[in-house]
Amino acid sequence: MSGFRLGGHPRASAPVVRFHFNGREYQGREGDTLAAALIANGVTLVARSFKYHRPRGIVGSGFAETNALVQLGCGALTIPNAVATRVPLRDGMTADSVNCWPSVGFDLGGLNDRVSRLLSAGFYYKTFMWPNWHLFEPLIRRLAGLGRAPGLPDPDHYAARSHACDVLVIGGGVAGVAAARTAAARGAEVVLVEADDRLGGLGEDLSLADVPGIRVLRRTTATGYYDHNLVTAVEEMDGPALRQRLWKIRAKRVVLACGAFERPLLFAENDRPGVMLADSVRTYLERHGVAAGRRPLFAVVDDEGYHAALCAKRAGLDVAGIVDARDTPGPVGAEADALGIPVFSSHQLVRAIGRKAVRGAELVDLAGGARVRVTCDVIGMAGGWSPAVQLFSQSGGTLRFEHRIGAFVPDRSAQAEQSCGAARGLKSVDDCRADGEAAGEWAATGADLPRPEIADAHRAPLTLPPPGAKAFVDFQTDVSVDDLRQATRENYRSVEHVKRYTVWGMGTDQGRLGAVNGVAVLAALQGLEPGALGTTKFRPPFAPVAFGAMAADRPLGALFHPWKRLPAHDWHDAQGAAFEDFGWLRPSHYPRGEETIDQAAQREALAVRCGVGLIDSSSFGKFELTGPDAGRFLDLMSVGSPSTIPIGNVRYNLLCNELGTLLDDGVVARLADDHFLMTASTGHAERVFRWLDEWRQCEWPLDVVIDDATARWAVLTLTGPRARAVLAQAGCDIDLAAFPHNRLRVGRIAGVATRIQRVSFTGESSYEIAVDADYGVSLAEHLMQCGADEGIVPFGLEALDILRLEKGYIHVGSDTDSRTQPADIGWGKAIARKASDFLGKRSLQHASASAPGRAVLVGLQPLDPAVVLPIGAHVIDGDPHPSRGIVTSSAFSPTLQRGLSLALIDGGRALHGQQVRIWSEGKSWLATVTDPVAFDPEGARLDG
Amino acid sequence: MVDFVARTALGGRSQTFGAITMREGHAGPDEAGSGAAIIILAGNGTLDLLAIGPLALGGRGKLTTRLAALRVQIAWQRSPAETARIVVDRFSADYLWEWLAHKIRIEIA
Repeated sequence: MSGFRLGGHPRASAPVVRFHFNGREYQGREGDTLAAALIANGVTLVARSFKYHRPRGIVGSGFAETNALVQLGCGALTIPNAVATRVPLRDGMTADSVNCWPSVGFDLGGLNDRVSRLLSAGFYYKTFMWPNWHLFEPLIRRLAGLGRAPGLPDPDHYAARSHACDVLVIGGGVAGVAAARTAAARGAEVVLVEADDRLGGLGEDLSLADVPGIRVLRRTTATGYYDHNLVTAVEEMDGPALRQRLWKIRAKRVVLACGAFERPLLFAENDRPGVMLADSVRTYLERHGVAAGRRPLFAVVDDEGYHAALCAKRAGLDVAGIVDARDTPGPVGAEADALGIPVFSSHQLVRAIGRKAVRGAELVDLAGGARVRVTCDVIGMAGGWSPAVQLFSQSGGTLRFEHRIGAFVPDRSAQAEQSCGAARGLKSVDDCRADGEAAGEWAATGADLPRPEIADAHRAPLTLPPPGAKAFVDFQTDVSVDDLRQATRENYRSVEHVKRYTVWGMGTDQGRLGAVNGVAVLAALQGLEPGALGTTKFRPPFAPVAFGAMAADRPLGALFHPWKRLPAHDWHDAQGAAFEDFGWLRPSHYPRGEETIDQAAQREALAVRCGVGLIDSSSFGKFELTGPDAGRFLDLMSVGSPSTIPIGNVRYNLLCNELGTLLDDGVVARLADDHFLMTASTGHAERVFRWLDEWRQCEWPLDVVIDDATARWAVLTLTGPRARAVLAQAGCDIDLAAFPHNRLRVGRIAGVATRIQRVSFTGESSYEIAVDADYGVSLAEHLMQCGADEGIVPFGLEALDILRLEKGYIHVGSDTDSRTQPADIGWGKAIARKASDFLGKRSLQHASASAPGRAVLVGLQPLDPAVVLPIGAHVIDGDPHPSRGIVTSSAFSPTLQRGLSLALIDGGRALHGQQVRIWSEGKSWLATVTDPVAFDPEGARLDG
Repeated sequence: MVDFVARTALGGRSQTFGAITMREGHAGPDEAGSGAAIIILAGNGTLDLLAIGPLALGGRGKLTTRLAALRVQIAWQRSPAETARIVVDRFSADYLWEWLAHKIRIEIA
């Protein structure tokens, strides 16, 4: 190929753009694509193929390109596998060929082509099975894939927009523009997306600027078509501030005017650089003023293919001829004759000559069998047109094979959508325009107007190349007709199976050029009609989408997932808190000086046991249930019977699911006859609220209102033997002497309304003080000031974990698993006592719930008190398999001066007092099975 | 004795990004003590930024939706300037503020 720029074309006088390709500087013109500029500079060889590393050149234009994949830019901004035909040329752009080493001109991987007979379809499934696939896997993984993914975080920015409209038109060609114009004229709000930066498709420029009510998104590619007419599209912004915008467009009706792709022809060496799609040769001439070569030869199957040859001749190229397998060309043949283009009728192109560039072509006379060689530097293939049905297929529509064009066309729609124009198999501009207008009318009004018929065409039949000819069906993945023959011989019948066996259609172009040819070949090999074989399923995305665009509304870094802040967050921050992020930002500890997290936690836990500490409990779920049936509803939801709680009292509460396994624990307080306050653990709060609401709405529509009051209150917990003394200093109007454990009181603290619950997760006398969330900081400051003489310390989750572990208080989800039932943590009597129905009751009455050997919660005390057993360590009999249970919580108790653990052990209750061996990662320890409660088993300290 | 001072979720924050201003709003009578935080966005492009432009028909209205994966209520009006009053759980207000700021910076750049 010896491409050059046409002097008389307006593009030739456009400003110069400098760029680098494979390290060498070139000049292009403003408006060029990278591919156009490379052709204009005479660059023939741009890539190497995936498997055989065969030399490849530019084959098409726009989306119809499968060879010219390049690596754009470098460093964090590099983009792998950009399609050169869709990359607008920019000053200073750098691009490199992919899948070659050391260079695209001399690629050691090209050895694969020499031994290609050994590397046929599915060879790796058969070859690398002995002795072990994993032996070869690292090398194969390294060799697989195209391009280099950036190794650095993506510095580009992406945005997302949601939009709704009456009519969405996808494609800005003749049909799409006509549809948009018609729909807008009927008063519909129209959005038109077009991947190119201009409207008009393969023809003249069109404009919609004069039509109100149409929003045109240029350089926007529709990538996915989902249920309920939701279409995703990616808008190329290319700006330093914004690279791409992801559109999510919901339309009442969708018009698919996506156009069609020209099909390659099947002949030996049809992948050589210089073999191009005929219409792409024309596109480069007309739109970019670039000739792909000086002496092109065109091979056609119908009259449509002649147009590119006529265009080339008129542009001044020395057209070597038109190879037409038919006996007699249509009327357009006379036009070719008139221009002096030789027409080789009844001839078939059987081989391209040349390796890194086309030097000629070999034809065969179908009548006599004589072979003819023609010198040329470009071969234009015109194998007919395949409607772009990818989005239609994604929408759920079904396809049918249309013999008149030799391709699949939309058949039955599954959504409010219609295809039109070339996407429906039409060819002439007039037909496409009329079809677009009819589709636009339907989209705006629902009226079904008569549509143009697909024109009958005299087409040459498919002739399979002989075995051994390297005729490629899928250029990008190096799948040849012989590969499909082999798959057929091995009894692969379904196109989906053949696809996966041969990787046909699995490249980045997703079979845009090769899908129909592949089906046609397979059908011929199986003796079927292509329609009987069908196509593979087209899935989103239609074109590659950057991960950044897909995650546009999920910023990276700190904003990646939502955090929740405590009302007194700033106060904790000022106290030097280290925050733990698990959705909530909660203080894990308050380090002093160089303290480690463990040292701080030990200090804080000991301070609570010996004096008083303050912890922020605002994140607990707080649900208020009101109404005459509130108590009954809670009884149905709980293992216990909250309806029997006296007013002003608080009771521990367990929730189970239908299987009787634990969902969460918390407390329920009764504020009035028909008013309860239920708490849930931080991690389960949202789930518990949804759970309550779901059962109320769907199963038990009782007279009860459930209100999530979690965000309404700031809750600070004073805990420790001196907690009451601190509260007494805090200006609280509640009689603390008449305020025992498990009670709730309402009053005022320092003049602010408060609810105080006496519940404890530390085993110490505790007061959970709730005020309006706006007063969270003031309350914290106030309590710390009041507790200064008592040596009050703020403490975090790490210390709390030690304190609750000493008491054997569980974390549902950590100390329980998806099988744990109330009896397994010592709450069997509550079930036995409860006569009325509740969630999970039937499961809990099943024999399996009381079967011996169930995993139950126990305490573990290592024989060596200094040992802290790893969480997740297994309880074994001496052999790691099978495990008899796992350690669920562990810490060093500063009060008891020893390591303590909780564990779920099969039949653990019967093991109390016995020694078991604990194993983790090759180490083992002996520990004694104990009751879970290691500190103050009588609970004497709770009442302070 | 500490004087109890009511502090809102965002401490009265305010920020301007090009044509769009963002500030913490005051809870209305029905919202007082509800645990909600209010963020007010004003300026042209606000409704598209929140992806409610096509849904926000008429001069003003109210809807419940998800923003930044959070459930929010948005009350909006188109004149005299596009304004959106977002009600969000106060615990999540800081995140939503930062998320909106990030989104606006990208959109106006």
